[in-house]
Amino acid sequence: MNPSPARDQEGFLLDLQAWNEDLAAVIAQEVGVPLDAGHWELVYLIRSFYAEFDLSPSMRPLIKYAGQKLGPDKGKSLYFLSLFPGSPAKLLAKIAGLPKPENCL
Amino acid sequence: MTIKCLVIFRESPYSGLRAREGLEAVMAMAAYDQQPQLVFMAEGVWQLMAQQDELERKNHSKMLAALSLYGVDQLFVHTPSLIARGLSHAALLLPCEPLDNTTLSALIAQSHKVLSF
Repeated sequence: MNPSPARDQEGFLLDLQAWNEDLAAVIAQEVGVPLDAGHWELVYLIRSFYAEFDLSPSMRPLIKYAGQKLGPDKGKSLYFLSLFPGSPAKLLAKIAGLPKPENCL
Repeated sequence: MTIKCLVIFRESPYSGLRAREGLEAVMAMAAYDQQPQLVFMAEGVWQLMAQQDELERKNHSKMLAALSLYGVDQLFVHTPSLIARGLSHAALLLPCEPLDNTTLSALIAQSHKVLSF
């Protein structure tokens, strides 16, 4: 694996194809979020959102999507914040190798 | 406070960047808990048609499909624009309420803000 695929100034991956789980773990370490099973589930959730809609989601649609795909317990901002403190959508996009959320306000 | 905002899409999905920029504006509004109403008319009705998947650009129809997740579900289509292009409601990718010239005027009149893309 290429140890350092190109990233933008904020650390978002430039080439979506360069993503893999090892890289996700490296980025997660950088942002101080060790990944366990619950984290991985959301990493793959945001990747499937991107595949389905061609969008790097902001918080609200991502949470709604989680509610639909993973059940109401996980479709909550508190759940996301407990796993990815601060700005979950932004952290998740970065770890999942997606562009920065376009409506990250 | 919710402002009644109407966003009118008048250009085809890949002729330029307006379709996409309009959609981004809508999603930004949604992030602020606004619920804009969307109208597709003139060349904009092409945004609601299938078979957009052969392009290098981001897939506009996929992005439109995300609107309900953004809490935006009041979509309208201008029927005379469909008819003028030989299109029908049955071909629309998303459920849209039909508008004729009279109901379109009424919708515009009752909106606080109207944005055109």
